[in-house]
Amino acid sequence: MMERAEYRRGRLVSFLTALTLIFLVAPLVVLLMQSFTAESYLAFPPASYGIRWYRHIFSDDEWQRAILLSLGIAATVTPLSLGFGTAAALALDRGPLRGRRAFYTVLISPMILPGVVLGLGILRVFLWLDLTDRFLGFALAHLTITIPYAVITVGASLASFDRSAEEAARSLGASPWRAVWHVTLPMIRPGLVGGGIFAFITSFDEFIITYFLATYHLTLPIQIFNSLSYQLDPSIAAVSGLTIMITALLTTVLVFRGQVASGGRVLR
Amino acid sequence: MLWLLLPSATLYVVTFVIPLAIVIVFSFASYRAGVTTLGLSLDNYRAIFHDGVTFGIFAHTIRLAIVITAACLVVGYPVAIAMRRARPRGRLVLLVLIVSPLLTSVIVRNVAWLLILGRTGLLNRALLDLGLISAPLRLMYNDLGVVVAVVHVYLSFMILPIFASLSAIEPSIEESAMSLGAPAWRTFLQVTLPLSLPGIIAGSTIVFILAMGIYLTPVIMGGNFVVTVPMVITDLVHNQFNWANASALAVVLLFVIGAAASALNALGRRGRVPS
Amino acid sequence: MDRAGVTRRRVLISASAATAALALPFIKRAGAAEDKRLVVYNFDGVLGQAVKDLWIAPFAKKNGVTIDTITMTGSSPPMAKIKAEIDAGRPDADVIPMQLTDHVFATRNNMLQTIDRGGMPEYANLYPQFITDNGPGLIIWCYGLAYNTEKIKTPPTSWRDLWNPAYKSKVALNEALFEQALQMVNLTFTGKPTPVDDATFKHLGDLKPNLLTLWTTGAQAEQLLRTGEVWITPLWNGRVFTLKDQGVPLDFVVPKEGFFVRYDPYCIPKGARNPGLAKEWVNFICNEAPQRELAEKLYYASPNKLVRYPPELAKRVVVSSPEVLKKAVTEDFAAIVDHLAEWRQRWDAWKQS
Repeated sequence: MMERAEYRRGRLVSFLTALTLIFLVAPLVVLLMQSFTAESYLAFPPASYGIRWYRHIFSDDEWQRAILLSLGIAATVTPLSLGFGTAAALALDRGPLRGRRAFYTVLISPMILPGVVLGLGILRVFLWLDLTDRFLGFALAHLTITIPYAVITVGASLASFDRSAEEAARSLGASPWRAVWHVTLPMIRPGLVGGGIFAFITSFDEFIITYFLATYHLTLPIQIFNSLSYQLDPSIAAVSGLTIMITALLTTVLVFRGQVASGGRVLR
Repeated sequence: MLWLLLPSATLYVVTFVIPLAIVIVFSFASYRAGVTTLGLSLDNYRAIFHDGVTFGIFAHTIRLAIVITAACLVVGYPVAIAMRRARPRGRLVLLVLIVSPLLTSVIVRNVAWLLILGRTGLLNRALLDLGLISAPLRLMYNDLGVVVAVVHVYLSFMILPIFASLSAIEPSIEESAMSLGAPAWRTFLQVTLPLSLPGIIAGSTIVFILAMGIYLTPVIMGGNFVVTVPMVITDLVHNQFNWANASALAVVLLFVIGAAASALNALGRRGRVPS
Repeated sequence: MDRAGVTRRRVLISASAATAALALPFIKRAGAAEDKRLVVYNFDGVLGQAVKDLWIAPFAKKNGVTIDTITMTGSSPPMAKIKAEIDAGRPDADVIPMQLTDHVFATRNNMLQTIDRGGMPEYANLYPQFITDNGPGLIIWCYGLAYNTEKIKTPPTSWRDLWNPAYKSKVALNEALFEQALQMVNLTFTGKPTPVDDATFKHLGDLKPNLLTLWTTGAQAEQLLRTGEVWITPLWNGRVFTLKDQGVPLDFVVPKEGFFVRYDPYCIPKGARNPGLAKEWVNFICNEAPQRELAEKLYYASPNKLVRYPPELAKRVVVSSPEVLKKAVTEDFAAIVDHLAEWRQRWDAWKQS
């Protein structure tokens, strides 16, 4: 129930949000239109339309392998980084105050160190450990650069989190672990979701470190780069168009199946 | 509770600490005409501050990152509020829309921006047709182009943490403030905003770190006129075989950003809900 | 659905995924038929495809060997990565085409094998200036001016045309070849490519109003020319004619002050797994037939004396004879590498001014 002042402010927020959403989506609309071009180059608006480029990426083995590899790595790394990162965030939040800032900085540092430099360092270590061009190697490298996101977002959620609920659970006899698992984690869910999304995206988009490690097993970003330096052909628009359309489809399905009903409830 | 750090710590030793040690060792090496020789020299560090060019690039990079972070904060906060107010389904739709720029790769996004912001692009053509301008605006190949493209993609990194913080605020706190007579804007400024500080800090930290790391967007959107520290490092490594200076620059960058992030984090803990 | 249950399941799923990932087989590094397998770095785009069709497939078929390619991004191999591999004793590839500046770095860092000229019979048919100690220089490209024939009615004749005020914001330069751009500026105003000094940067400053952007990849250049955002830019001869054949209104001129010619040495890294087969292949691709076929397809000249160009092709290839080559600018690559750091800094400073 909103008062009139609230309602006016509600309109302002809605207006600003709408503008921002247009800003966010506009290039994607352009991209989507581009992906249906029948020409062999990118121009706006497309001179002619067709599904030629979608056919190209579907028929091309390399694109399929790259997409699957990137998805596989990201799907593996995301829950792991949430696990590692949440554990670390809990340790920082509940642990002793001394050294907290130092630990925090070290934990987020892989995100800060430029990838070109970190990538070369990791390459040298992995050459020695024989982890180059392997799924495990990619996963470990990606895990390292995604943990910082979980540390930051879950850490922020923990900082906003009123511990009295957890303490109440403890006073009712729950062990520290159960209290955290059943009370705290659900309530910091937005932080977990945010960290998970960032981790997935970061791994899926990661280029430079993976580039150093890969020889034959190419991820999607590497495949895109390889196909783009000589000529900007619309196959990448098609790849992006595919990602966008699949996401849109999934969202529509979820929205109309009401799956979000319980998940959206994040307040006590 | 400290043992919870062990998994990350163990991983980091192999994938971060040892590589970083290699980088630090190289930062003290000497470079001459394409050959890097290991040694103990502070020349690379000295050069960053004294060669007359690198420091300026550093300053420019930091300025850009601050502008990008501030823009993301100002543009993103209303969206976080909207997300909080929305019903679960609306929230999902908003979430997907906000994250959608990230579903595309950086080159593809930048090409789309080229088609929109370029001189013969969508925006200029529309403005010219409408008679609002007489000559195409220079929206690309400069700082503006870079800021627009980077804010576009990093906005979600600001919005989601703020939304998470806002979600943790009991609506009853705000309602009781307003029932005591405080106007809506006052409640926002003095109750909601401070309570969302951890989210603001988290979002700003992530965006600032990411913005300090841009090296592909300035190439396309900045027309290579915009030079950032990561671009210099990339050039040193790939085109000059200069691991000495590249490593020193990376170490200094790590130090500067790390210090900033650490300070932001300390600020954030002040906004913590007391238990 | 129980929230805790969902999270528990996620943990189990991720744990099994992790175990599966650990168990995944990896490519065997030492195969049974190692002596019948070659790994080479290859270009991307149509150039890479042409090399695959004209240089790789015929040799593989004729000798019953497999040649795997690692695609490079652009025309420069990842030298930093390759050096790390050579240091660890395991370079990924047996043959690496590289830029002339990369070649200087590689030799100064002892990354390449020396190829004994006696073991390369085809060398006898190559112009000697294209043979390096580490391999032959192939794919000879020429850098001149590419211009939009619809927007620029009179063909440009000089590098100085880039400074023409009529082309305000219509000019672009190649950032990746910035050292060549600096030499070009010198060539235009002093007649010689070096030294690079204050005067060079003053002239470059004068170019700024005309300069729309600095592109890094051929793809960018192509996009800029197609959309008409850029009317004139230094570009490779092969590219321009390929685009022209596709109907883009472009043409290529060799400016009167001189043009730049470079090529890609095909080298073998130290510790390569199959240097013998590598040398055989490199020798094969120097032959007249593969060389001529590539020239016909993509207009890049060949160092092989036996290749004959019909007049139309000769014009496009530019470097069709030693006489033409004499008109090219002589670049001292060792000196370029010596000065690279200093030039780069001044270039970065100029960009920000």
